Amino acid sequence: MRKLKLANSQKRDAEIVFGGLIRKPTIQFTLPNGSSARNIKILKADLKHQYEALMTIYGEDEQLALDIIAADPEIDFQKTGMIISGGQKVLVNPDMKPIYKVNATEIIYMPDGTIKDQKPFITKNQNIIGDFPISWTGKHMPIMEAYNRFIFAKKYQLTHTNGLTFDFLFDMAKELHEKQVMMLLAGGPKGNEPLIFQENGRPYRAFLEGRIKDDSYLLLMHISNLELKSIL
Amino acid sequence: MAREPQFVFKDQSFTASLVKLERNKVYGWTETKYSDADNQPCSFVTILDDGRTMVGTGGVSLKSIDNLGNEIDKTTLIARYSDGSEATLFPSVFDSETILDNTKSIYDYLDMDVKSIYQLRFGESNDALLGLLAEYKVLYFTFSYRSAYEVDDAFLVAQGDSIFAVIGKMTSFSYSTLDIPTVLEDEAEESSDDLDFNMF
Repeated sequence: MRKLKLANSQKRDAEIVFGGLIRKPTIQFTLPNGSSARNIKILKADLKHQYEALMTIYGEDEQLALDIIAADPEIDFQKTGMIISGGQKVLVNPDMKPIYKVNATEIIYMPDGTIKDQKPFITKNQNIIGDFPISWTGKHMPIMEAYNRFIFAKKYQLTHTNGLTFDFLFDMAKELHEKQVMMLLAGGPKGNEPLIFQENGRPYRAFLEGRIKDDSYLLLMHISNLELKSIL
Repeated sequence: MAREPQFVFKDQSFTASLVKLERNKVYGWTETKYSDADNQPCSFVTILDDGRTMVGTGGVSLKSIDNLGNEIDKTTLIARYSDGSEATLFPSVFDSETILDNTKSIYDYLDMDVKSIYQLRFGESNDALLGLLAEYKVLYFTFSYRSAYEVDDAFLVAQGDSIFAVIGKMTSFSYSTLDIPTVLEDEAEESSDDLDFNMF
């Protein structure tokens, strides 16, 4: 379970845990005899045997096609068909040589595809656990207004790690439950930044919703990066 | 002409085409480009675990094999539920009537992890359906874009004069008690390629 640091409306913070619920697939694919099938990845061709590399040797499609018929230059008989797993992404230049020092540029596009801005890429750090807790912004929105204003793409359940954090989270859930509101959460030193859950992760607005039932609580953090807006 | 699902609620029927609502269309998007010291464009390839073999796009194929390692024709596979019984193939939303259900609440809707959103484009007036959504807030249905063995949960939701189909999977959260903290799973998130948006 992952941890985050959360502050309440009195700016008291605590480290708590959060996570989603993983659904196991309900369908399995079997062979007619009932035995299971297994998926594997096999190597079709490495870079030296793929079309772009062969074209640098042959220059034109016709020559390449003739040699494919005559000599199988697209097949590496040692490697083609090899079962593979794992692997790592690396950056290569147009000569297919690995690059160790790269310049990264972030290009921002408008919805119509035109470029709005270009700037050097800057790493975005996570801001859910660190020096500054995720804080209540004081901006709350009735659930009946929020449900059709934002797309709450994902939900994380917040839960306690001990008796003290149980009380801390139960009180939060109770307050939100009684007011029937969602509270906007934010991170960063000023408590106004969208939440980033991992390095270079997407920024999300997060809304906290609380429900209570007897002595138990359900505290959900709904995350959103999209408003429900007409596109027609 | 786009294919149109038919939604049915009691004795009322509504037909509308589906227009996908994507974040890129609303806010735009970002892309990271890489170059080397000579300002030549760079691209990602995969280097295999042998540390020598590099593979580009299209260099890998996914295959299904049996216990003996023989390749299987995927059309021969049979879908089964966990109890071993043969799974039911559900029709596409375009091939049968979609029954709307008013027994689910806003909280059921909020419990759903969202996979996709479609805006409904009506050829005729959508007033009757807007009226139903004003009364019930959300209307539930099951959704499968193509015929499939597993269907998604879906809700119709109105925003202003527009109606959206929000598709996903509902989650059954359990309440946390003092004695038994809820067991949650850690999840990895994909890396960012999106705009830092500000909706307020």
